Amino acid sequence: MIIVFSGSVGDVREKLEQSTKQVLDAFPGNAVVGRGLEKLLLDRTEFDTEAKSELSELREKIFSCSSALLQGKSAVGLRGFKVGTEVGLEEYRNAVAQEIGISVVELRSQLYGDLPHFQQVLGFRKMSAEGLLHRYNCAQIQGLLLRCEAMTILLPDTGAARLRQLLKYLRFNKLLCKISRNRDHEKSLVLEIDGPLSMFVNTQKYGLNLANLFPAILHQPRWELEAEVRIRKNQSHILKLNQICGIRSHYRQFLSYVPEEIELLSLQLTKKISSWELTSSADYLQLTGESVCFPDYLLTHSSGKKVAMELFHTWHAAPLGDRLQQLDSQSHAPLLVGVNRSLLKNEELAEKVESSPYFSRFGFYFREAPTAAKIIPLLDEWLQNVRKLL
Amino acid sequence: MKLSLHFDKGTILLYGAEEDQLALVEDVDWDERTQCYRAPAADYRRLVTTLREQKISFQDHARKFSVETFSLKKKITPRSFQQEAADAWFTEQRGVVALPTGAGKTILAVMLIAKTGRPTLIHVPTIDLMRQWKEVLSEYFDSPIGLLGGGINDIQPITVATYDSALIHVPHKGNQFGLLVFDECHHLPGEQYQFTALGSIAPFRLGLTATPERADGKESHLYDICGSLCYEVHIDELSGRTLAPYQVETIEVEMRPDEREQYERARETYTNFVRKARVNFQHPNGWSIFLRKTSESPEGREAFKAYLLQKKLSQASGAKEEFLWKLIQQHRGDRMLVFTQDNEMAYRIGRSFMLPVLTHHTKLPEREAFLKAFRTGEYPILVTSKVLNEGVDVPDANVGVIVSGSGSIREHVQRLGRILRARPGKQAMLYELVSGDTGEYFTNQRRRKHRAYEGTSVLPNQSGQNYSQINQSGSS
Repeated sequence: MIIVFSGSVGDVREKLEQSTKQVLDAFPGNAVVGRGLEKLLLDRTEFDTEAKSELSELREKIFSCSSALLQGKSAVGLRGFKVGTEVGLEEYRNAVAQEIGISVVELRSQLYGDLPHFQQVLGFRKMSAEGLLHRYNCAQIQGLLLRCEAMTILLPDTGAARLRQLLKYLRFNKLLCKISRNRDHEKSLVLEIDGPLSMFVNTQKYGLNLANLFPAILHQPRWELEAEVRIRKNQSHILKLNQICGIRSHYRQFLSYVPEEIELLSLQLTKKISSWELTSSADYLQLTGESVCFPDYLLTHSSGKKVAMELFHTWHAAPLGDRLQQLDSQSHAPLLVGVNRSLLKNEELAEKVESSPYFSRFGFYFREAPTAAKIIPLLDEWLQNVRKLL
Repeated sequence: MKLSLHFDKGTILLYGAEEDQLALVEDVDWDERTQCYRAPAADYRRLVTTLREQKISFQDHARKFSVETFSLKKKITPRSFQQEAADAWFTEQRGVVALPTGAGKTILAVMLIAKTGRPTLIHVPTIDLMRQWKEVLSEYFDSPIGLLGGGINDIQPITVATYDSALIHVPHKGNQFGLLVFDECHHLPGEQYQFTALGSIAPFRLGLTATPERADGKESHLYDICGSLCYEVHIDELSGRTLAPYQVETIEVEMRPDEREQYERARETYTNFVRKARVNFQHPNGWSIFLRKTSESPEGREAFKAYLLQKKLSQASGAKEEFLWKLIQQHRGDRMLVFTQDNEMAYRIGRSFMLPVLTHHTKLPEREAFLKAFRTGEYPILVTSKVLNEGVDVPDANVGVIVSGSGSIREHVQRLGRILRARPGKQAMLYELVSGDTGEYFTNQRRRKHRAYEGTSVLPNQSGQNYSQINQSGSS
C-alpha cells in the first residue's frame, strides 16, 4: 500500500483508488483493517482541490446552451424543441454538443471533470510499514476514546519534564484534570481527565480531545490507562491499556528543547550571581485554587532553596488572570511570575496585575525574554521573606 | 473577597463565593480539578437573575457584550402569524418557533434581533445558508454583518456562523453574544451541536425550524437549551395563502428488463447471505452485525457488493432517468429542482441531461452562480442531492422531482418545502419516482408519515399500477 501511495504523485485520485483496491482485494485479512490502513495513508496524501476555472467556464457555456434549448429559446434552431413537443434525448445532446463544438462523448466526460475522483495527487508523506502499523494501532485506541466521557491515567514514575509536556498537550486539547497521589504508591500520580462541562453533563463531547491526547500519553515511560467506552446502543465497556501494548507515538517529543532566550538568561545569572542556577526541569507546585501548577523554570540557590518561575506570554491572558487570583489568596508560594508587557494592552487584565498584592512582591514584566536585572531583586526579596521553601 | 463571575471554556467560574450565597443558586458545583466553583455557561441568565434578586453584589467579568441599537433600513410589515410568533417569543425572550419553509422565518428573526438589541450570533447548518442569511440581514441592518465559517472569521455585533464553526469557537467566544438564533434548530440536540447552546452565556435564545420533531425524540432537549415551543404553524395551514398550493404525485417506474434481471440476481445473493449468516435486521444491532459479517469472508464481501448494487439499481435505474426526461419536457417553462439520494446519481443526471448539479463538491463561486442563474430563470433546472434540502431560498421553483431519497420524513417535508414559496398563480408540483416492486416501496412509505402528505397519492401496493393516481393536497 505504501508503495502504491508513494508512486501515485501526479496520478488522479480515481487511479490511486483503483490501485489500492487491487491491493485490498488481495488482502488476506479482515477487509476493515485494509480499509483502515488505506484511510491513514489517504490522510497523508495531498490532492489538488483548487477550482479549475477552465472547467467552470465550459460548464457555464454548456448550461447556458442546454437551458436555452430546454426553454425553447435556443438559437441552435432545434425545430422540435418547443414547449408541447417531444424531442429525443439524443437529438438534444447533439444540439448542445454542436453548439459547444465538441463531441457528445467528450462533453459528457469533461463536464464534471474536476470532481474528487479526478483530483491530482500532489504529494504523499512517506512512512515506514512499521510506522503505519503503530499509527493504525494508535488509531484503534483513539477510535475507542472518541466514545468516552473521561479517562484515568496512572503514571508510576514520570519525571517532571515529561509530566509537564503531557499537561501542555492536555491544555492544548482544552481538557482539565484532577491530579492526586496513588494511595499505594506514593510516587505514582493519578490523572483523572475530562473537560470543563463534564461535571454537569454526561457527554462524549470531549472524546475527540481525549483521543487527540492519547499519543502524548505514549511518550510516558510507564503508564496505565482506564476509560469507560460506550458503544453500540450505549453499552458500557472498560478500556484498559498500559505501555506493554508497545504502540509508538507519532507526536513530537519536545522535552529537551530550551528556548534561546532562556539559555541567555541562564548565562546572565551565572555571570552576575553565581549563587543561583536556572534549569528548565521544574517540578510542579501545589497551590490553592488549582491542584497543581507547572512553572516553566526552576531557580536553585546554593543553599538548596528553590523557587520556581512561571512566564505568561501574549497568549496566556486567561491563565494569568486565574493564577493571580490563586496566588493572592495564599501568602506563601515559591513562585516568581513573569508577565509579557503585551498582555497589558488588555485593560482589565492590566488592572488585575497592577492591583495584585502577590505580583507587587514577586512579579516582574518582560518584553522579549526575562532579564537577570529584573529577576535578581526578586530573588533577594524572596530569600529574605519566605521562610518555608519547597 | 467579592464574588466575581468569569467565563471559562463554556462554563462560568465563581471566585470569592461564600457558602451561604451559593446555597441560593442552583447548578453551581465545586470543581475539584481547578479548586473553584463552576456552573454551565447556559445557566448564566438564571445565575445572574438569582444574584440580583437576592441582592448579592458581584463583579461580572463573564459577560463581554452590552446593549446595542440595531436600526432597520427597511420597514417590516409583518404577516399576522409573524407578529403572533414575535409576541409569543418576546414574553420570555427564549423559545422555539416552528414555521414552514417559505413562511418568513428570517424576517421574524430580523424583527426580534432589532427588538432584543443585543449582539447576536445566528447558527445555520450550511455555508449556503450562511451566505443567504448575510444577504437578507444586510438588506435590513445598517451595521456590517459578520461571518464565521467556510474559512471566514469576521466577528461583528450581528454574526452568522455555521454550527460547526460556532462549536469550535464557543469555548472562547461564548460570552460575546446576548442573543443566539438557531436556524433549522432541530439540529441543536445533536451530541455535539448542543454545546453551541450549553457553552454560551447568551440569556436570549430563538430556535427556528419547520419541523422540531426528531426521530430520536430529543426535541425535549431542544426546548431545555433553547426554550420551549412558543409558536407553531403547519404547512397545510398556510397553503394557498402564504405558501403555494401543491400537489404530490407518486410514480411507480418499472425497471428496464436488463436492470430487473440484475436487480433480482443481486437481491438473491444479498438475501441468501442474510439468511445463511442469520442476520436479524429487527435486532437493534442488526445492521452492524451485517456489516461485520460481510467483512469476514469473500462470500460476505460479495453479498455486500450485491446489497449495494440492488439498492443502487432501485434508486437510480435507467428507467427513472428516461421518465425524468419526460417530466423535463412536460414542464418546459417551469422551474424544476431534481433531488437524488446521492451525489453519484446527481452527477449521472447532470452528465446525461447536461444540467447544473449542486452538491457539497461544488465550489463556492459556482454554487452562487448556479443559484443566481436558477433564481433569475437563466437555468430552469437544478439537480441536487442533499444540499438544497434545507433552508436555501429558491423562491421560483415550482416543480420538484424526487428521483431517490432516504426514508427520512424530515428530508421529505423539507424537499416539498423548497417549492412552496408563494407567487401569484403558482401551483407547486412534487413528483416522487419509486422503482416498482423493490425495497424502495417501503422507503417511500416511511418518509410520507407527515401531515403535509395526508391525502396525497400513495402507491397502491408493490405490484400495483405503473402510474399512481394524483390526489390534490394543500390547495386553497
